[in-house]
Amino acid sequence: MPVSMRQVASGCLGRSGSVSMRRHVFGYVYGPPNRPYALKLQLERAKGRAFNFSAILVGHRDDFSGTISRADVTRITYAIQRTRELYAQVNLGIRKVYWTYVPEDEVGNYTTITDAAEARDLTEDWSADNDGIDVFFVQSILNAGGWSVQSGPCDKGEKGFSGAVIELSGSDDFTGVLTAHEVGHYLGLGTGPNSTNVMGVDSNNDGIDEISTASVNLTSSQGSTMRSHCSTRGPC
Amino acid sequence: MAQETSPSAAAELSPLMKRAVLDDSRWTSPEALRRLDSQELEVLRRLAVQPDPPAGVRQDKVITALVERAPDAATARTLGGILDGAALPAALRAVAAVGLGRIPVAAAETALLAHVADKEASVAQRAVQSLGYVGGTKALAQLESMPPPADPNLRRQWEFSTRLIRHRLRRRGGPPARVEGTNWDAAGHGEPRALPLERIGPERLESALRDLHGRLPGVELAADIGYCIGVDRSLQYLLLARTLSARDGLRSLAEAPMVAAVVAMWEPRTGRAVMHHVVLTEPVGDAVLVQGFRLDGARTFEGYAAVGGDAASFTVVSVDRDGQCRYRVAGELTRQGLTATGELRPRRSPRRTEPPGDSRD
Repeated sequence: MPVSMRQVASGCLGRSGSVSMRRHVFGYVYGPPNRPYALKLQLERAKGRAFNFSAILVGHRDDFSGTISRADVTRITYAIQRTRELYAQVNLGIRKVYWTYVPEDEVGNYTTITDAAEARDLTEDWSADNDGIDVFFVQSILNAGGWSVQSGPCDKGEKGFSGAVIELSGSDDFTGVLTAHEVGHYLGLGTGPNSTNVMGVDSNNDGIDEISTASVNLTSSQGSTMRSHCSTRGPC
Repeated sequence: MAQETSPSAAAELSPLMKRAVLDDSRWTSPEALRRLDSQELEVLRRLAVQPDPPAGVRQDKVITALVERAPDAATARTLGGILDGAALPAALRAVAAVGLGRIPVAAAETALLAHVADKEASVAQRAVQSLGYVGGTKALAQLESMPPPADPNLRRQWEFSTRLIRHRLRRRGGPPARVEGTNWDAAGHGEPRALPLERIGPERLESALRDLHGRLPGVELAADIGYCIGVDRSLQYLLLARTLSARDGLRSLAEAPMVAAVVAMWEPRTGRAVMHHVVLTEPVGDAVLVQGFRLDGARTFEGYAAVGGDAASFTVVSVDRDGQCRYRVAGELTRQGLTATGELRPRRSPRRTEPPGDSRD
C-alpha cells in the first residue's frame, strides 16, 4: 500500500499542518542536497526501522559569517542524503534530521581537530538536546577523516565519545561515504571486509579503515547490526 | 629530481604520497610518512606553499606529512611562511600553527610568537597552544608580558601555555596559579564507585611512550611505571615524569614547578596513545598544588600534595565542568609507585547546542 507524505509527517515526524517535502520530510532546511532525492524511498525508509540524525555545525553564525559556510551546509546535506542511500540497501532509514550548532564565539580550537583526544573533548563538551545521533561537522581532522567509537552510547550524558566527528575538507562524494562510515561505527560496525564496503578495509593493519568514494556496499549482516543498535527505532 | 607538480600532476604522485596528501584518502600512519624519500620530501615542501595546488591535494595533509617526515628548521620556516600568509584560509594557518608545535626548534618559536595576537582567534589560539609545547625562555617572557587576551578561549589557552612553559622549564615566579576551588560535598548525586587504576604492562607502556616521544620537549616520562585509568568506554594512561621515580625524586615536587605526569588517551582503532591532559605541580607554602589541565587549558582537577620522606600523599578533586565525571582521588606516591583510592560520581550533563536560526520551525 502506498505511503502518503501526510501519514509519515504526522505518524513519524510529529508534524501536522502544512508539510514541505524537502524541509520537513527530508529535513533539508538549508536547501536541496545537490543530488537526486526521491520522496517515495524516503517515505518508506522513514516509516521503517530508522534513526534520527543530529547534525552539529561546529563554529556557526546564523548569517554564515562564521567558520561554517553555506557551501559547508550544502555539503553536509549532500552527505546525509548519500548516507540515506547507502543505508537504504540494508533497510535502515534516517527519519528526522536535526540541525544545531556550536556558536562561533565559543568554538575555540574545535574547528580543526588534531586527534581522537580532541574529538572526544568536543563530544564531551557539547551535545544537542534531541534524540538523534550527534554528528559534529568540523573543517578538518589532522590524523583521520573522522572519529567515532564503535557502538556509541544512546545516553548523551555518558562520559567519553558520545557522537561522531566528521571533517568537511573532502569532496561531496567522499564526505557522504565518510559520514555513512563513521555513523556506521557509531551504530556498531567494525572494519569492513573489503574496499568496496562502506566500512572499508584495513589492509596495512594500522587501525585506520581505508575507504574511497567506491566504498558503497553494506552486507545484510552489517545491516542487522545497525538496525539492532539502541539508537535505531522501530517502524512508525 | 622531483618534477614540478601541476594541476594534472597529482596523478603522478607516488602511491604513498597520494595516500598522504589527496583529499579522498583518509590517513597515513606516522611510520609510513617517515618513509617518504628525499624526492617526495621536496615535493611536499613545494606543495605546502604552492598558491594553486594540484586538484585533489589538501595542503593541511601536506603540512601534517611534512611535520612527521622532517620536523626540522627548514619545515619550521615553511610553516612560518604559511602562518604569515594573512590571505590564506584561517583553517590552513591554524594547521601550520599546530605543526609548529611539533617542531622544537628556535625557528618554530619565533614563527609562533609573531601570531599570539593574530586577528583570527583560531590561529592565535593554536599559536599560543603550540608555544606551550615548544616555547622556551623567549616565549615565556613574551607571553608573560602581553596583555591578557579578551577572547575567553584564547585567554584560557594563554594562561595555560604560559604555565606549561614555566613548568617545563621548572621556573619559579609568574603570577600565582589560579585555583578554581571545588566543593566535593555539593558536587553530585548518585552512588559513588571506586576509581579503577591498574599498572600498565611493559609492552603497552613502551608503545605509549614511543607514541608520545617528543610531544613535550624537556619532559621525560618514566619508562618503568605507568597506570591505566578506565573511567568510561575509553582507556586513559597516567604516565609519570621520570624524575619522580628516581632516588630522592619526590623532593623535586617541593622544589620548583614541574610537569609531574601526562594523561594520554588510547585510541582504540589505531592502538596509539595521544596526549590528553597534563598534571602540573607547584610548591605553595609547605604544600604542593596539583592541577590537571586539558591541552586547551581547561582545568580538569586540582588538589594538594604533601611531600615527606620517601612519599608524597595527595588528594585531588575534579573541577565541576559541563560534561565531566566528578571524582575524588586520594593516594600516595612513592618510588615503588602510586596507590590511590577514588570515588567516581555520574557525569554532569554536557552543554547543549542550539538550533540554527534557519531551522527553527
